[in-house]
Amino acid sequence: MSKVLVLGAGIAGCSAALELARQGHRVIIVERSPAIGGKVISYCCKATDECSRCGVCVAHTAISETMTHRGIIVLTGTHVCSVVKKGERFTVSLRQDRPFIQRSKCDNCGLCAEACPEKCITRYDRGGLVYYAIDHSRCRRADGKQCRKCVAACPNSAIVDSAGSENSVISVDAVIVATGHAVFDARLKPEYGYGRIDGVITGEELESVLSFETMLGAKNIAFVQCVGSRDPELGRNYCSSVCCAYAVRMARMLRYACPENSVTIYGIDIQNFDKTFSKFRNDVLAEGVQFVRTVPSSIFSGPDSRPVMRLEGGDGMSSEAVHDMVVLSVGLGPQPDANITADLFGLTRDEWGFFVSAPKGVYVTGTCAEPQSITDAMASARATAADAISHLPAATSNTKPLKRRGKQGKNILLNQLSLVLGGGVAGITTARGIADRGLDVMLVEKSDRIGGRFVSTGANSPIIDLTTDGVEIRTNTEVQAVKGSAGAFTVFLATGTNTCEVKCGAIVICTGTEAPTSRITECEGVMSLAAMCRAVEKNERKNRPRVVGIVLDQFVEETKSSNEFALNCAIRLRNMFRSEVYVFCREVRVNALNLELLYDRARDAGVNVVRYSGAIDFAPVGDQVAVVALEPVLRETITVNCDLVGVSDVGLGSRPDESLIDMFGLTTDAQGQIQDNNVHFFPEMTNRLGVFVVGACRGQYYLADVLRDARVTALSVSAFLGAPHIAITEGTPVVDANKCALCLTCVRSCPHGAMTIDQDKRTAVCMVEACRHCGICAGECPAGAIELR
Amino acid sequence: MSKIVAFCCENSGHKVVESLGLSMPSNVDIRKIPCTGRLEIAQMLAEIEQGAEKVLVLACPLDNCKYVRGNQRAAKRVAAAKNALRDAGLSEDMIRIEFMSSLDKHKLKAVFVEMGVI
Repeated sequence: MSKVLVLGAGIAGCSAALELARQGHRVIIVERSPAIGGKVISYCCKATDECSRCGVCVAHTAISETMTHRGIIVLTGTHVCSVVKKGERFTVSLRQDRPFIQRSKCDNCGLCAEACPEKCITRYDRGGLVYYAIDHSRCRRADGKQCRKCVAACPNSAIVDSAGSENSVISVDAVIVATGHAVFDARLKPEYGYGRIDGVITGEELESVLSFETMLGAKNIAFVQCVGSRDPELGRNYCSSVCCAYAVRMARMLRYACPENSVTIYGIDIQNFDKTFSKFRNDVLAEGVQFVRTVPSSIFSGPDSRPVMRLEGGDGMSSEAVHDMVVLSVGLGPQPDANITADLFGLTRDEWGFFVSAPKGVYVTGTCAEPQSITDAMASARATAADAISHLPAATSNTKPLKRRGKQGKNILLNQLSLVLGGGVAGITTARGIADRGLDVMLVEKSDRIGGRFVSTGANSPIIDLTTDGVEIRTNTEVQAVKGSAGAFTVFLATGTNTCEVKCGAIVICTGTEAPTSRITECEGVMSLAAMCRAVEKNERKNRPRVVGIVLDQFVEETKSSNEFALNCAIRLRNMFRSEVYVFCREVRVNALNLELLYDRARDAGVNVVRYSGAIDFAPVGDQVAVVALEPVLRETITVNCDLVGVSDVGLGSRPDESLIDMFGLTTDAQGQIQDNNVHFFPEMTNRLGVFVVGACRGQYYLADVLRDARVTALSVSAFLGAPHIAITEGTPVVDANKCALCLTCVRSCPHGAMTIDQDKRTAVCMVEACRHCGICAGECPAGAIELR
Repeated sequence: MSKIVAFCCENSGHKVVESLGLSMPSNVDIRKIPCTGRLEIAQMLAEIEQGAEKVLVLACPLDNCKYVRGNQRAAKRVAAAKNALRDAGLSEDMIRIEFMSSLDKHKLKAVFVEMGVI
């Protein structure tokens, strides 16, 4: 059994710890503040009647699970004093502030809080997460006084205040650093008057207000984006990736709580943040939130002491806008004392101070590595845990039995083979990850080669490991049908005219999207961007292209991935082929750490980025193509004659294979991508147990995120197949055969595909291994034949 | 004081009720269900028949159901139960559905104030 130290009890630290503990490793979480949960516990749920997928509720569930997990020890108010590497292990000395509450003994009675004369013990109780925390800065012990009133008041002797035992030394096999971020101090942007002008608050403050109230006193609210992000003057020329998301979500919430509120968002480019972001943003627009494309140059106090913003419009005219409340959407940055952590563990930092790399045995995750949303932080923490697990000595649970105990004592043998469908980057990475964990994997690919549609954009593109050691590969093979449920699927495969049956325990779908061609304009010289890149690289055309147009956002609002791909192509065309490059887009999406820099590099290289609104048209002119677009600032149509035009692949509206969706009975989101747009499922789960999804077929195109999701999935698959037995909890549906009319209502309504018909007994039955105990079948059954037992 | 029966999804509504703890009004009967998709029309009507003045259904926000669409099913059934009440000559307001996440203590309090429980 190995021991892991996790630094930081925020959502990233807790997610990593949970994943490690579930795999049988012992985890010690060290948190310097008295509270568990980090920044996320003061954030609000941003749902109206409809969820907006901020992830705060799932984060609360994960944190409370961390607190109660038997394999995890959480030390709050604890500081790391020194770290010494001894062989493969680390010896870490810790100092814990006294007094502290032993959570294993505490039953949240609250007597200590009543007894404390300084009122420094506070209760936190929200979303199933309950604990008491001692604020050491106000505790009498901090001044060296003796008090011990809380110790005396506790009936369970859960409060420890023994002097001289503050320091302890632990020995661990690995360290995961998840120290989190610091929110940008809005005072460093004095022209916005934060702290001086009434009614100017930060987004973080609004979050904590909205945690306890639905309505604000203010009627006319403005959000100002990019405060402390994308700002080279402050040395923060990166996008914080979260501010647009929380501003748009809270704007929607404020409009919904009180429809007469007027809410305006002032921003440069609104970044995407969701699988179905385009739809979400249009909904928010339709609900009456206004988007204005400019940020104020300054904010001052008006005559009636309301904040007034001075705005410079794109047309060069300046104007003023008065609001009751101005919310500054502050960005994320590294912790001010990140250098101390870096020195302790030997981490390197980038120009902004985020951790980049770590020595062997130390891992970095969460917002201390790059700005991330809650769901992204949870996914990357799990991916980091997966990396750590593969380097740790095997946990005891790895020798667990392969049998599952089903209901009525029968043993369901879990098939240990996993099947990966699709041999693209996502499929290969997932398959390799599963094989690394000692499980059998079969990779099925429709075409005659693996590698998928990944296109290199030259020297700048990352090197992808496409080796497939230990993976059985079947090319030219398609799935014809699938039977069975979690742990015991039977998949019918067809290779040419040969068919065969494969029995497997888990299935990972990484089929990507169908090659999009149907929407490409019928015009010589217009092609998909990936095809254009290939054509230019291979010198298929005799003359090098003199003028190249790259078109984004033509049909759908695109993601950061297409923007990154387009900018990389543009820079390469500019530098290698000396072409004149025009990138047409509606919005510049740079919401990943280095994308803003890439954008700057493209501009420096001489790439022209043209913003357009409305439709974009192509017309043949001689042997060139005229790209015609409306420029919103000039309000004029501009025409660029290009030799070659590349239209972004994603924008062509590619969708996953629908026959596969039907075959597996999977649910899809509003854009037809596999997996509901539901925070409970992110990033890899589908509505069916034992079926996972990675990559473009779930709407994730950004390479770094796809690789991260693939690692998470590999871990989930091995955890799923390696579980000692299925947890048959109370509430499994039992069908009364005498009442069952075989109407198939339960079969159709079960979201997890767990109900089938037993032809011999003439009744519906529940397959316990696939059941998630929701009881929907019992609610739907018209005969009342199903009972939860 | 009127008696109210609250059907709470264990993933959201029930967690809110638990975090209210002692400040939970005493005349609210809590029925914990695994998902609001489990709730039958007859269950709601039976509670009214047995003397409950109002029935409250606490579901997760739409698109946040752990079981994909359980809350949408509940919304449909609440509408059907309301129809049944109207047909019986009773007020539709006796049954009410609220969508809230596990963190929305303040929203549940506001609902109780609106219903005249607190």
